[in-house]
Amino acid sequence: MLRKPGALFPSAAGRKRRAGTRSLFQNGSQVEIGSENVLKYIGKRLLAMIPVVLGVTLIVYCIMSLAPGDPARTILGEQATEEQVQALRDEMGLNDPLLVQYVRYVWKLLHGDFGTSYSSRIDVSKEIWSRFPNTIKLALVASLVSVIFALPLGIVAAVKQNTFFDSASMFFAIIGISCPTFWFGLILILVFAVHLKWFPVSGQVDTLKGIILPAVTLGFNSMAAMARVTRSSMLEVIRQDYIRTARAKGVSNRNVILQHAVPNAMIPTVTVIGLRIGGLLAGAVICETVFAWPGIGRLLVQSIMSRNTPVVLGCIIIFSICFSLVNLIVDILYAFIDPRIKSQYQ
Amino acid sequence: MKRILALALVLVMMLTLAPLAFADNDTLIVAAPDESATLSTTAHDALQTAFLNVLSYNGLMKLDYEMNPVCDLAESYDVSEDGCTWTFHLRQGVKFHNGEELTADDVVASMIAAQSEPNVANFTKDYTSVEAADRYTVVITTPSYTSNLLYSLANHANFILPKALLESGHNFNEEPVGTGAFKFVRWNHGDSIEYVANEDYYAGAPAIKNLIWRFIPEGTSRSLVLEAGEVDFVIDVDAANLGGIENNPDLYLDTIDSITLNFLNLNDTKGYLSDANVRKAIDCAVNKQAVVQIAENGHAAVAYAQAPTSFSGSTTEGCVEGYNPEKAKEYLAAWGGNPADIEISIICSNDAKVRAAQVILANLKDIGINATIEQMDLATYLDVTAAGDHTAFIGGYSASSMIQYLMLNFHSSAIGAANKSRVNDPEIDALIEAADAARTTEERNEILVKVNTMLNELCPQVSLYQNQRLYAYKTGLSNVNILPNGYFYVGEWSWD
Repeated sequence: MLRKPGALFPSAAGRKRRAGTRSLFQNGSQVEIGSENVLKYIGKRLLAMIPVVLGVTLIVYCIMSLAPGDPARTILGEQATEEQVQALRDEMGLNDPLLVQYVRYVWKLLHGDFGTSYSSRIDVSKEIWSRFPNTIKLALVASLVSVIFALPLGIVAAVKQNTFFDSASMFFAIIGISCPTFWFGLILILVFAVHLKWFPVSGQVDTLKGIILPAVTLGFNSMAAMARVTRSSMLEVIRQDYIRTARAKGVSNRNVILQHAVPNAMIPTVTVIGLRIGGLLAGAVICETVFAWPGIGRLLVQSIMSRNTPVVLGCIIIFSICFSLVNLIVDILYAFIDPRIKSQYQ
Repeated sequence: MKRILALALVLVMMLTLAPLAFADNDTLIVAAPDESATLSTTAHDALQTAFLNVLSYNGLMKLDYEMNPVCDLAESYDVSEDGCTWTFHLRQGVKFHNGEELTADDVVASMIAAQSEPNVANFTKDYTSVEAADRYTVVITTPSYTSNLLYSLANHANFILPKALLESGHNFNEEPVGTGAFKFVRWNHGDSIEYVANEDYYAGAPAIKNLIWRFIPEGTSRSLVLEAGEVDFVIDVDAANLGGIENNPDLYLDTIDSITLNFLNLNDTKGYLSDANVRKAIDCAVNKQAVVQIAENGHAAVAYAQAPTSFSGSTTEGCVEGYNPEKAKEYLAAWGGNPADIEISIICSNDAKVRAAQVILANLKDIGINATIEQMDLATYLDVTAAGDHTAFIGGYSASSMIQYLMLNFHSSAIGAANKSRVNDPEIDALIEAADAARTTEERNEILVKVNTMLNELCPQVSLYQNQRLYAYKTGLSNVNILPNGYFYVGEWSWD
């Protein structure tokens, strides 16, 4: 909830109104915003995802088809003759015009069929769904790790600006941004898995101790970025007049920071968190490789290398949907953080 | 409330950070670099998948530790006078994992099905028909005598599957059912495959009762999981990470001289590369010892001959004299052109190849040839080189016999496939075919030495080195033997 100076000590009537539908000031008049507008907004956004996903499939399909390298040749290997390669291309329908291939793919997709992997001859949906929960798990835990550490770091760094703690926090953040995931992961493995034997190197996807090292590795970089954004956003907010007013009215420093400054500084932070979660879903390839984490990122990279178009498309569709959903959730969160934004959801 | 939360947190930490469980002596955990796309015996030609096929299946023949084909599911075999009819007598009482008994009908169905698979066409083209003479006798017909047939029958392409399941459309890509030492249990995609011992295995129940085959693509991580005790056996140890294993008394590093020959392939049909003097000049100019050191961290043997020296019939007769820049300049003088006019772009599809190419580039510059490195991924590399659109690339190739190696790399029928130097010499073709048709080992070796000498003199490509395969495992593991082609039989292993 956005706190302006005038809203610091709301009237009883105002408090009552907030218990039902929310109220805010827009263009000088009070506007009542009901939750049905938000639902309508969510519905519109969900519908808008359909052309987004189709557009993504078209772009990816064209890129994969125009990229050098023949899927049939890759499947058959170096020993295969040109006749064998052509026969397989015919069998796979790769000699048909690009548009025909794409329309055929979309038609199947609309019927829930993601196609068959060129290399494994296994249903793409099966290949993806066997790995996708692991990717989600890793991305969410990594996000949690980064948020848990980033918010306090960023807030305290801003509150104690130009102190040793501020410098130390930002030094830590710069280390996090600069530290290569690959190197950091291996160092964690060496220290905590090989020497101390506290955690496994890999292979325990379903246990908490199995996810800690990959999540910390993946979350470390995001944490640094979130901490920096939180700090700069907090610095901007704590210089606002209403914060000064609150302090002048005798509100304790703790309450000023936690109840007035932090909520108002959250918009940029939530934006970064949303973008990072989306990035973590698709960008965990290096972490998955170092920890042999059976996620979808590694599958995607392997499929791109082998020109396994159905699997690439399947992964990209899932990522597009996830990314769109995360963005939608972030937009909805804005409404709870800042009611002025909610007024636009209609 | 805060205290309760703190206590709960400590409890969770204590539970989840409990000492790691270690495997018991019935279990073996293997770490492999690549996850197989399929568990089929015929829908691939990948070494890592072949390892998995060997766990679950058997063929009529298998390779022994000296790479000779010996009987496996066949108890014995006879060859007709004309060498075209091969009669295999099957072992009786061999059971598939589904409990059915192996019969000649299963062999016929499996081999006929394999013939329709393009991935393994090179291993099924030796025979024209397969018939069941009786319940335990199979007759295989070949167009002419071919010594390569027994090697092909030992290949995963010709492993035996139950006919009933083949006909029912069973999904062998995901659920292998064979006669092998280990029964498939579960495939955790992206992570591992689980097996249990086949207690009815015809050669005796394996001592290892549970086998977990994990996929750990990153070389350093693969070494670290062994050091941390999470796995028992590592395939393809990263040569850059040997210290921790070599210095650990509980681990053993096994170094196998492989049959994979790595080379700088030259497209003999492109520009000045069609002149043998130019190719020999390049061969002389390359410091192969430096290539081995830089590309493989010293874990390889320098190669000079055109074919791997591990096979009988190989020779270094006719090879250039080794690293000698002055001799290289003499070859260029014999060619008569300007070295600066020679255009070579070396295609590399992985980091080790790039490192090798960087040494070669420096060496070629010493004799006035300007070369460049072109990096591309595997799919593009395969496409470009198959079409013959390249001048040079760093590649490697292995086969299970000398004849197979020569047939695929230097026979004109393989142009557009594995013969990427595009050697097209009728005399070489005829000699390779004659070696294949030779009925005695002496006769075959004599012809092979002749054709290898010719190839060495022709120098169609620059041989660089033969890899060493690095395997590491816990010292308590016994009876571990590894073939030069990388195969191993886990059914024979045990814990001390």
